[in-house]
Amino acid sequence: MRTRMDAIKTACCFCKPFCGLLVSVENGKIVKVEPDPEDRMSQGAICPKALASKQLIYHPDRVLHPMKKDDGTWTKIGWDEALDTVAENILKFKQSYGPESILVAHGTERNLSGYAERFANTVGTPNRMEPGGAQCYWPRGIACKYTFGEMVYYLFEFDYTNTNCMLVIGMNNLIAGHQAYRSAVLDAKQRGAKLIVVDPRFTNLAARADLWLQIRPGTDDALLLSFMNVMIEEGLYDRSFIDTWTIGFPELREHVKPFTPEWAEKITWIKADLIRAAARMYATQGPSVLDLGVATDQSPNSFQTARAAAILVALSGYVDVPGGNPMYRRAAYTDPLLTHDFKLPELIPEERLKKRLGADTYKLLGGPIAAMSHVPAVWKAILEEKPYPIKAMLAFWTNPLISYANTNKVYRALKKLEFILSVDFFLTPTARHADIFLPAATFLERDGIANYYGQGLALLAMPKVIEPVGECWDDKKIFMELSKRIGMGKYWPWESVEEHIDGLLQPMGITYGQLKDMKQVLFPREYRKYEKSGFKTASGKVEIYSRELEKMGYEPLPVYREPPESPYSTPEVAQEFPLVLITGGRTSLYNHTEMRMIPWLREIQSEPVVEIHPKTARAHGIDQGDLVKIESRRGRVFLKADLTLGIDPRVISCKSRWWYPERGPEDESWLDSNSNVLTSDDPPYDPALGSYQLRALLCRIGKGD
Amino acid sequence: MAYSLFVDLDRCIGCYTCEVACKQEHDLPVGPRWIRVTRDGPREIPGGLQLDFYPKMCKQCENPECAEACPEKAISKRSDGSVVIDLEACTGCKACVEGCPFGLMDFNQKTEKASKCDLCAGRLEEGLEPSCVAFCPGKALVFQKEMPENRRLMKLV
Repeated sequence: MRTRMDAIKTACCFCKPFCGLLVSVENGKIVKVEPDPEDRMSQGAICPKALASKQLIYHPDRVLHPMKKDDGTWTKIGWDEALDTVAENILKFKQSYGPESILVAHGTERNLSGYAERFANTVGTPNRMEPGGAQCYWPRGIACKYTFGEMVYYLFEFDYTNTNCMLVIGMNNLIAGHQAYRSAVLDAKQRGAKLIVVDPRFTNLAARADLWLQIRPGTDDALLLSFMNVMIEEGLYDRSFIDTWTIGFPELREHVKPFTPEWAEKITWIKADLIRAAARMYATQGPSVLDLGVATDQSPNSFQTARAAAILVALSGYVDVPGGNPMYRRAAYTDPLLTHDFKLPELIPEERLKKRLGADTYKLLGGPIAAMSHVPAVWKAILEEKPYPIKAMLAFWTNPLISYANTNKVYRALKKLEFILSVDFFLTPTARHADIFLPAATFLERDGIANYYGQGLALLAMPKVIEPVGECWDDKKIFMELSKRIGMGKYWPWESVEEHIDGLLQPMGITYGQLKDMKQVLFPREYRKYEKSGFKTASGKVEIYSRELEKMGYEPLPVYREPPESPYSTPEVAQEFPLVLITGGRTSLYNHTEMRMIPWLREIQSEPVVEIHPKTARAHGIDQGDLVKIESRRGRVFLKADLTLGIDPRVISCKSRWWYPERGPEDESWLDSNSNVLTSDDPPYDPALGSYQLRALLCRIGKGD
Repeated sequence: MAYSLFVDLDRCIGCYTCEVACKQEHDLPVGPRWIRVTRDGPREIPGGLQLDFYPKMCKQCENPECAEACPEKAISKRSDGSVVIDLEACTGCKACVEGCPFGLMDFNQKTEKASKCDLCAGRLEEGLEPSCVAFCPGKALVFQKEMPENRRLMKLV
């Protein structure tokens, strides 16, 4: 019998930081999942999701065997029949409509998205997407690439441990950040560091801020431009860093002259004096760290907003320094799962690559870095078969009916598809529409490796602690076996997952067994690396003015764009739908669309709510707990009212992406609860990335019953 | 009693980790929540808004009213300070649930017995802190004899 003393070390995969875990197993069954006190990320603490892992793995509704659907009825089948059916369909659609008629859709990057990309290339389709993509991470990452010369995780890294001033925009690192950041942010506050929070909501982070900037949703670009205006006009930028290590400062100086705090006040609803105070605090109380969250990626000006933030960091000079925004990822090491070579892009011929939907317009999304299709173009290809039809979707760990914007449109598209494969744990609203369901192993049932950032850079082993429950399979094994069956086995040539991971680690001179013994390999932190080797841009310097972007037809200096649906852009819509809608607020209990079926989590937060200012609620006769009907131009949902002073009376915030797993696969009440019914994937899009306006849309409310 | 449990209001972020840690440690079904997080605010204060989170849990009272309410005398105060339920003696009559003036006595539908925080007696025997304290991401819960100084603390137990 195992006790805590001989628990197995592995890492959590409910989100990205890969917090270290100690898992106790008795007779092949997990009895306890606890944080590993020796792990640098979790530091012995953890979030509620990991502690409830057991209830995911042994959930009574988890599907434990492959299934096929005939005439609307699910039947249990063997793996051979299931894989053969999927392979036959892949070959059939490739033959009849071309490989581009097959869409590979997958969920958020954990340590598997590299495999999904490799598999899409193996199938031969240029069309791959995830709900994030242009709406998450890539605008920030690629903005850094064009500014500092390389992709850096989430717009740099964040040295809260040594910082003196934190500027947090569009994110809440007490909820959604790395575990180690939570205590680091609290420690920093307690030792007197300053905190500036830009958020429309009075969150637990905003409550701790020295300056809370309650921004009008969707106007972060204007705010960032006015920060630059203040820093330059008042001479508060790092002159020596700017002179030595950047190009394009004189052009920026001219460019931001009109963007005064008074100009920004009208756009952002933040008082000019407060904007000035925040810019001064960020510039003078350093070392300062800037943390930009997903909020700005979900706007049709995502790329220029992220560029503005990157340039702001350059102005402050806290680039790759302790207490600022270090660039740990520049260590002599690359995640073997995310290398170009691992993904096998050469399997798609040049001619077919041109068929990637949206890639010719949204070059930074469809190009070699992100290599993804434009989501609205995918729906169009399914619904209108233009410019060619998409007929089949291979869906890995993704639930598009809940996770993508404009649910009603997604639903129409899903119904039109001729073949859907779903690889998942549960018969989700999306999986219900599949033809074949393959049961995936959870992270505690499969071997893997992962990287983490944030506390320096590390490569860690994520060994499985139990054999997969029922007939569930490691996703890697599913990819290998499917590839064999479509005649592409030579690209997945391994006999076992272990052999494959050994191969990945070969360049580092270690085996998976050795990595498991070491648990992790830590790479040393090094600051001011640019002093030795410059930046990896064409100029070798930080490119404030980007000639490369200019050549591609994108703005070389960051610009402000009013959200296309807003009280100012579309006053006629605002007459009917006067409130600004947020649907992105996160909780520590759930990640994205996941985990609503976990009893210990669901008991705490049992239903989705909408946050409304009491004044606005009163005007509509709404009391705390009342059912509220929320309507946008796309549709309507019904959520319970949570009255709070922590939101502007002109703004409401819906808990995001809610569904009711306990109501069974036939239930469609998520059409009444999923905030994405309200959101939009309509044009215009971000010119470079194709991001759509997922936040700051217009809506109206009324009593729901 | 030997130890007290405090929450540092500047460090409690309302993440509910303590609640789920407790559920797992004591294998509790849906229903009993030995520790539960309360949101206080946002409320108006001079110059702006205030928002606090803190957990509530059995206070391990000096003279527990739940024990007085129990017709079976199944609840007692131990020498280490914790108030414990003798589950053999408990008949599930719920008199203690009514008797607790703080509403902190739960009922476990699965076992049909009264159910409450025991300060992780099992972990204490192993030399470990209660699970809610140990796993807290904000390091907001403090389990010690003396009240730490210079912090915005609230005594829970």
